[in-house]
Amino acid sequence: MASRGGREPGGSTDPAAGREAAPADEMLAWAESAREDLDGVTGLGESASGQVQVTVAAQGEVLDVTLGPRALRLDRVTLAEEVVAAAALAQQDAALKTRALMREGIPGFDPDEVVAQVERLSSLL
Amino acid sequence: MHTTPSPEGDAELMERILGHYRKMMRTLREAQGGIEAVVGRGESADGLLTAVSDGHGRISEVALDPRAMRLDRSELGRRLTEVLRTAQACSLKQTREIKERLLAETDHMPQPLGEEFVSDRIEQIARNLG
Repeated sequence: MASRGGREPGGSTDPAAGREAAPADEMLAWAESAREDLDGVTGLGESASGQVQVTVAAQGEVLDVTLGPRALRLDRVTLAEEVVAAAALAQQDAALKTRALMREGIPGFDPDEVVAQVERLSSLL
Repeated sequence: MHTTPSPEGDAELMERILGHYRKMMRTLREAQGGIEAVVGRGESADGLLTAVSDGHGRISEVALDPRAMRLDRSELGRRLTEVLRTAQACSLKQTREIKERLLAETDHMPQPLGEEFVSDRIEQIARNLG
């Protein structure tokens, strides 16, 4: 993994700087072409019993809840909890896939590091 | 913006800009707090299913009336889909309103320091040195 110190905001113009920073214009171009891919991401989550499956869209919007053949044998509280859990897992799945797409698209770009940097900056203000 | 260079004027200006900036950050944090507090609710037409979403669209609660368990699984699945989506749409509406208010409030930020501002000061420094 590249070192994190001294990242240039505008991106490095020196190719030898390697994975230190992704130039802003490269990110923008990637984002435009990748928008379709990103929009197509769906997340799938399955509950512990396997009787509830939730599908969400890229941003976490619920698309479908499918119940398995034994779902109605669960008590209603357990079933409700499994719906909540499956939805959460589906959203995590969508988020992981989105971050993986971003990492693949831009060498050296780490979405988690960007989030961490933004958080560090905003805590200074 | 009038940019007569002077140490006192500049110090005052910096204070004002920092003040605006701190205010903007406070407003931003309030908006973030507002979003964290958002609760979006969904209820099925027959009232048998309810769901709650937080400000990020995460489902925090689902409740099923006993009568809901008499539905067949594909109908129940369909209704659960709908009630989750309704809860999310409800919280999305609220977070959009918060964001719109935020944009409106931060719209009147001071203009960034321009070229003139900088070159006036460089000239002043040059004169003082010369």
